[in-house]
Amino acid sequence: MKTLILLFISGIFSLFGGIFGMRKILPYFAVIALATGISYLVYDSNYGSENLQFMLLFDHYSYLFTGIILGVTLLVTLMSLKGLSYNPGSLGDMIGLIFFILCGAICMISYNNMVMLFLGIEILSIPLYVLVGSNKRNLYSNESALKYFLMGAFATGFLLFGIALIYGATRSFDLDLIRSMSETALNANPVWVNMGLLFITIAFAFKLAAVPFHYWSPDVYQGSPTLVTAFMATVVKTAGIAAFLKFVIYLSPMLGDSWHLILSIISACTMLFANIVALKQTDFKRMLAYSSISHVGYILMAFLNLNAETVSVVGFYLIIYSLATIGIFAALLLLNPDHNSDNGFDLFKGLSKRSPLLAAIISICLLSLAGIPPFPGFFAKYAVFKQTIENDLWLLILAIISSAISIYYYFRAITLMYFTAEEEATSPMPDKNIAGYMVIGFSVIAILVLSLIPGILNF
Amino acid sequence: MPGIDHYLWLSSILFCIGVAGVLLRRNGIILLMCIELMLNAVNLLFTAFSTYYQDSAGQIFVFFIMVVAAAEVAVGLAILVMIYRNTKSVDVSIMDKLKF
Repeated sequence: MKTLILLFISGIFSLFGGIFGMRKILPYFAVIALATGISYLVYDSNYGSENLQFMLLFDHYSYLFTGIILGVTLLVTLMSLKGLSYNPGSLGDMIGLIFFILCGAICMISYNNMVMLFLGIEILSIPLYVLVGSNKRNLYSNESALKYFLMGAFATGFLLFGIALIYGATRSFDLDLIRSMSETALNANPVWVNMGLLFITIAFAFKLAAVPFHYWSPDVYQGSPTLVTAFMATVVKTAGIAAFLKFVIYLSPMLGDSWHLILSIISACTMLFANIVALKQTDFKRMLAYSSISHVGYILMAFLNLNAETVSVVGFYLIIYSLATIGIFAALLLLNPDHNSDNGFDLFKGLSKRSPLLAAIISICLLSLAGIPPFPGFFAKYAVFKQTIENDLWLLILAIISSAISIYYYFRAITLMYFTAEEEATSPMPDKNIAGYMVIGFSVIAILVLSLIPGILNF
Repeated sequence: MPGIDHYLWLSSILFCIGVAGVLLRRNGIILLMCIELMLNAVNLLFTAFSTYYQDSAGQIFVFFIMVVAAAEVAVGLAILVMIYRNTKSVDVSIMDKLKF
């Protein structure tokens, strides 16, 4: 609760700071505010759960995921110390919007009432439409803002229709009351309940970019500024998955076999389709977009068999995924600091000759995303797969096949970096940016520590 | 006297018209109107359920939807204005630079 208030006030302060010429200190202010927010979170979590009028519930679950998004945002803000060069005039607005997005994300993670879920998703989405389009003169950025806006608003309509049908069946917006009414509602109005659950699932699939509702995601990831893409691929995805997981956990008595079948088909299609299409990409950011879609597919597998482990498995996966993704995007920002729209694989040809350190770091992040054994991505995938092995063996087999496919495109960048002849090398000299190197260094050290001691994250 | 089923059918039909509009039309302004139509169909459904159950929570939700829809349309129109400045058109089908 204190964290939410602090972030909201910091957002307003950043907006005014941008007007009154304090742009130089704003990124540092943001870092301090986020660090304070994390310490408040740790302080609050010692006192157990806090329930705000049955609207927001701050419990262990919410502290875990809020901690993840705040930590990742801290890294993104460090990147933004130099990364907002395309639009320096509106630095205050951008940092303010990032704070408001965090407020929305916390509402999404901690909701205990459908009203807060809806408001959280909207508070998160509306500033994000602006951030995606913040490179105003760039047509790619314009196009991705328009696509993201239309798809986001469209998905909101589906979410609301689903909430309305669930309300019609159970007479309540409160998650606990909906759960306790689920038996009665299923007997009285099975059509309303099932249609409502289907609509809400479709809305979440839109927000998380699961196949077949993913087609906006590669365009938006490619067109928006690299920093915003990094933010979307980690923080927004974490918040969406946390909200969906909470929905599934609370409403599990309502979810029948047909719902399980639908979600497992969505998960299977997401993994297979995204990995196969990623093989053909020529733009690195677009490839990363498909990679993040496929990771959503793996995470959705864990939703099918809920048990005591599920929350910690999903949390662990999200931490590992976010660290590796942030590392890669920070490296991409060093190679292409001007936010050019061209992020082809040429950026990586012969990078090991120009900067062996950066090449090694990118390789570690890519290997972790691919799930090669010594790296923590493997342990995260293993934990998710272990959840599935008992009930959905066919899904597990598809997941293993698709992660085998994914190794090809992750290794493509690594081969280009290391096995390109000197005369063919097209990679630029990386930008000298201490903050960028700090972010990359932190994520790689965290990945290496987690690969040596995977049990260190024990929640 | 119309029952709850009639309201449900009416708002479903309105919602489907909105969805069809978003999928078929190509003018940015009309797309915004179709999204509004979807949200208003939901508003109608909330109000109908709220009256049916004599429970005020549904009507409160409608106010939240109205507020959020207004904020969303403000941002959407700003995006359209930005695009109009750069391309002199609000036709969304010319936005096809991003594809593989």
